[in-house]
Amino acid sequence: MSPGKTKSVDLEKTRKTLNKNLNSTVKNFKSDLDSMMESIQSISHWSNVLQDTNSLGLVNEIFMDSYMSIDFSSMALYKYADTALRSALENSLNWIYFSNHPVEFGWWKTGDEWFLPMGSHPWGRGYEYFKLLIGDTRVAPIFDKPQQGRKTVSVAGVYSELSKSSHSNSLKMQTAGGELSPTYDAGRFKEFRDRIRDVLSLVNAIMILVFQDEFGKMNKLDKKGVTSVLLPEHEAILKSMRRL
Amino acid sequence: MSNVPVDYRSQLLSGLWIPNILKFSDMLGPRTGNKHYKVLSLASTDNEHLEVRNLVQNGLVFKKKDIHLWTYTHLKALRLVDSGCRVMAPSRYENTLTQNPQSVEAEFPFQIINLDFVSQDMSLESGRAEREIESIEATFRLQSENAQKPHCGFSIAYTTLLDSLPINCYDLIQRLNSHHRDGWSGILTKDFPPDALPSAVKTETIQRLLTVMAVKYGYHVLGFEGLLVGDVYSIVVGAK
Repeated sequence: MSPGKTKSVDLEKTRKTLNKNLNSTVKNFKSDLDSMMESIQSISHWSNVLQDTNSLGLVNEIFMDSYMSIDFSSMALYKYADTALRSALENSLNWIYFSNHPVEFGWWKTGDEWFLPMGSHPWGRGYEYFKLLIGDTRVAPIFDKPQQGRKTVSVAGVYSELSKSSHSNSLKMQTAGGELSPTYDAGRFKEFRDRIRDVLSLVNAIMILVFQDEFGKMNKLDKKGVTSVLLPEHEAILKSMRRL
Repeated sequence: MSNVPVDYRSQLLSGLWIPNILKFSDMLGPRTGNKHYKVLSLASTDNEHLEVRNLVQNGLVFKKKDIHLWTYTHLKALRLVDSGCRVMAPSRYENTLTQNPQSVEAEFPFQIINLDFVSQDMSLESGRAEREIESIEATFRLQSENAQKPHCGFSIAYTTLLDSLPINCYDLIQRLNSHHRDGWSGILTKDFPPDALPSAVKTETIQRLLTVMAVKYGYHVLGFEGLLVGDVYSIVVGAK
């Protein structure tokens, strides 16, 4: 092997490809990227009013998950973008769960396996925990998998879609299309753009429902930052429940 | 519509902050090459950290790692990463200090504190100035409770916007008095107007409240100086 051809050189070469992809994404989707970066700031707004929750430290992780998902997608790393976005969604739900479960949070922080017996999850089947916490059946479309003929963006639906990337569904593979190196694909970027919009709308809608007092205490700017990422269908549900 | 001059920070730096911080620093004791001043500054990435450059140029800070920059969003915090300074919790200062001061307690005390709330995106609504002032009360508390021995002094600059809304002194004083301190009898509401307005009354109220807070936490007020730039009011207090 010649001295120049080391593995680190290969990585640098890949970095050049990623930068090329980034340039293509910025050139074609600059306003979408700006809007995505603006919308992830909605997470920061919650950290202002949830200062006294035990699990506040998770907010940084949620932000970075979201930020990195945008970063990955801009470089055409679409599968990894989905994986990071799924982590953002999971950590957001964890943040809510742990804010009411300080003991479990303590276990989780030390890496303990605190989960319930095999096959069950503290969130419950079909996100039952969150539905009970919110205490209103009108919230079901936000969590349940959309029934045929209905297209509400829900946690179950989005989670399932993002999991296809995490579990390397054949259509979501990074090398789908036969390309080994990450290749810019406008269609896949658009899919990701829609997914991050869905995730942020879901997260903020659930946060409004769970932390209604804290949402009420938000200043106008933060409140606007949070409500501006809501999809019309989620906004309608919140309005029907008089939470907006 | 409030008048916030674009260059208000540079005006405050040359006309108020640096001269007064230098003056109070001299009163606090001689500065030597070995003496590190630890600085806390609310920072917006849009102003190129003017105050940081000026503090370094004037010999008040020797190492950037002694400067703690506080910003209120994660994106701004990320932009500050290569500043060489320590970047603190991305949240609004007033929220953290009043709701969760223990999360930043370990960073205190500081010798220079620059709380320029105008540099952050302010939400112009009722209760804004009251929250800012309450967070300054928490700042004095953290400074005092974490002071090294001997009890060290510090300079604190508070910068706010004098908008058309009054400062609700009655509610504010009740909140300030709710923070108990042994031997402290509390602030009397009758000594303050119920609603501080117009600007002259506001600035006087702010001056008096800041000096009262210093005394509450066992500090001797070395002096204070205020300056109005447009509708931006800034006051520097020296406490020992």
